[in-house]
Amino acid sequence: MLVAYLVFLAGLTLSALKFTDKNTLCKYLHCKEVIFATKLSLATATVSTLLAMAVAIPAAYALSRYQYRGRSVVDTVLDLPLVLPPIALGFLLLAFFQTSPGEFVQRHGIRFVFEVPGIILAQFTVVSGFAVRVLKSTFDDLSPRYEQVARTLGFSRWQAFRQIELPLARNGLIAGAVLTWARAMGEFGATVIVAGATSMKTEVLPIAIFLKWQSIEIEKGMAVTLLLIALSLAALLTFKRLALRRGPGVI
Amino acid sequence: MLRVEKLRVRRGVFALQDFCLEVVQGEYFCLLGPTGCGKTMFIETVAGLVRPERGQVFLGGQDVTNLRPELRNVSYVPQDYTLFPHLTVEGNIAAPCRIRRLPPDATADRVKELAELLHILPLLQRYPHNLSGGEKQRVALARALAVVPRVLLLDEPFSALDRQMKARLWPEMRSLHERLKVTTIHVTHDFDEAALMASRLGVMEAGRLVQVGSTEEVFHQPRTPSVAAFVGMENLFPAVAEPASAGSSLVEIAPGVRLVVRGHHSGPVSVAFRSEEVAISGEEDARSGAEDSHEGQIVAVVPLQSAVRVVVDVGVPVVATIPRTEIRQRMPELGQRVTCRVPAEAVHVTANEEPDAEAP
Repeated sequence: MLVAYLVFLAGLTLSALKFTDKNTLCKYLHCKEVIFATKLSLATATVSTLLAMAVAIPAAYALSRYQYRGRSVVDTVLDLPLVLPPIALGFLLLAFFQTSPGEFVQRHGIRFVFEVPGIILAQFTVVSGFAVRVLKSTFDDLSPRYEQVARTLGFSRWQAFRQIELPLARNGLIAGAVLTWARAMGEFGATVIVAGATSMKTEVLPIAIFLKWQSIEIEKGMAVTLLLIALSLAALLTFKRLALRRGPGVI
Repeated sequence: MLRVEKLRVRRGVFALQDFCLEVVQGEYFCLLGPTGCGKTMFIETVAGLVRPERGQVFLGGQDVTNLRPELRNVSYVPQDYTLFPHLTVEGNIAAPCRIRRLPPDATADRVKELAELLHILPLLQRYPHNLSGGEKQRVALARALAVVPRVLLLDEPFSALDRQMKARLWPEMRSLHERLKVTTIHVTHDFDEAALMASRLGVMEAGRLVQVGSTEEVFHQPRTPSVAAFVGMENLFPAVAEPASAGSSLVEIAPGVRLVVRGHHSGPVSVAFRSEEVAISGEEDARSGAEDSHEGQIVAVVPLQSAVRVVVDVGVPVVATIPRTEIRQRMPELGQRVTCRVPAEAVHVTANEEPDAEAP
C-alpha cells in the first residue's frame, strides 16, 4: 500500500515534468516574477509560522496539562480552523474587516486587505489551529512527572517549563513548526480572498500557479509547481535532519 | 518534622480518608500497603503536587498545606526515577543547586561529594538512557539530596530492580540514611523491604492508615486481618471465641476445630497465624486428644527454596511451612494423614468488625 502510494505521488510529479522542458523551465524560473513570488512565499510563511508557534506553544501546553470545565468545548472550537475550508476562513476574515473594529484596525493599524500583511494573516489563521493540534500531541506525550519532579527540586512552574519540558519537547516542536511552515507555504484559499491575486504584489507561489492557470500558461504554471515541490522537500529534509541530529533521550 | 492532620484527598475514585501521621526528625518511615491503596497520593500531597480537600500538612511546625512545591524543600523520587533525559548525570544532580543559583564551585563540590557517596563518579558525563536501573536509582537519589531536603520521599524506590539488586541496595540505603540522617518516607508494598529499612512503619489500606508502629509490633500484632495477611500471616480464619481457663480462650475456626489462644476473647473474631508456626507430625506419633492438635489430610505440597509448604485440610485448609532441614528423611506426600499443632502463643486474635474498635 505504501509502495502504491509512493508510485502515485511520483507519477504526479513526473506528469508535471511532461509539460516542461529544461530550457523554458530554467529561463522562466529566473524571471523576476517567480523570484518575487518565491521570496514573498518564504518570507510570509516564515513569519506566519513564527506567529502560529508563539500562540500554539502556550495554548497547546495549557490544553494538554490543565483540567477545567468546558474543556471539550474549547477543544472543538480549536478544531474549527482545521475543518473549515481555508476559503471559508478567508471569507470570515474579509467579513471581519468590514465591521467597525475591523475597519478601525485597517485605518489606524496595519492594512490587511489586498496587502502583504493580509497574506500573513490568512496563513496564520489557517495554520495556527493545525499547529496547536500537533503541539498538543507533543505535550500529551510528555509525562507530567517531569514537571512535578522539577517542582519538588525547586523549579518554579515557569522554570520547569522553560528548562525541562521545552527542551524535552524540542523535537516535537521542530516537527510541528516544519509541518506548519509547509502548510503556510501551500496556503491558497484564504490568501486569495483576503490578499487577492495581484501579480507582483500579493503573488505567493500558490497564487502564481493560480494566475498562470487563469491565463492558460500551463508550462509556466508547471514550472512554479515543481519549484514549490522542490522547496518544500528541501525544507522538510533540512529540518528533519536538524531535528534528528541531536542529543540523546529527547522525545 | 512532618505532621499531617485529618488529611482528605480525592482524585477520581481514589481517596485518602482521615489521614493522620507524624514522622520525627531523622526518622526512616516506611509506608506499607498494596498497590492502589493511596500511598503515592499521600506522597504527592506531602510534596505539594496534590491539594488536599481537607486537613493540614506541617513541616517542622510550619503549615505548608497551601505552599507551592518548589518552596517546600521536599525531595521526591518517583517510582521510575524521572531523570531529566536531556541532561547528563552531572546536570541532573546539579539541577537543584543551579536553580537556586548556588555558586558554581559549591555546586561542583556538592555533585562530586554525592557522586562519591553513591559510587557514581564514573557516570557523571553519561546520559540517563545509558544507565542501568540501579544506576538510575542512585542518580535520582543524588539529585534528591543535592540540596538537603527537609523530607525525602521515596516512592517504591526498588520496585524497578531485580531481587538480587534489591538485596544489595537495601543495606546500602540504610547506611546512607544513617550517615545523612535525612527524614525519609519510603513507600513500598514489600514487607521485607519495609522491615529491613524502617525505624517505624505504617500500614495503609484503601486510603486509610490502619496501623502505625515498630516493625516488631506490626509483624507480631497486626491490627486487622488484612494487615495480618500483608505481613505474611497465611492462615487467616473467621472464628468464634469463648473464654476457657484463666488467661486463655478457645476459638473455633471450623466445626469441631478449636484452637487454644492466649487472652480473654469472646464472640466473633479473626484469628491469624504464620505458616512457620504450624508444626506437622506424622499420624503415628500424634499426641491424640490434645486440644491444640488437629488431624487432617495433606491436600497440596509446594516445594520452595529453603522449605516445603503444605496445605492440610483439618476442616479448613491450614498452611504450614516446614524447613527443609526437618524433612530430610521423608518428604510430605499428597493424601498423607498428619497432625497439625498450632501453639497458643502463635495465634493472633483480632476483632472481627471495625478495625478501629480495638486498641493495638
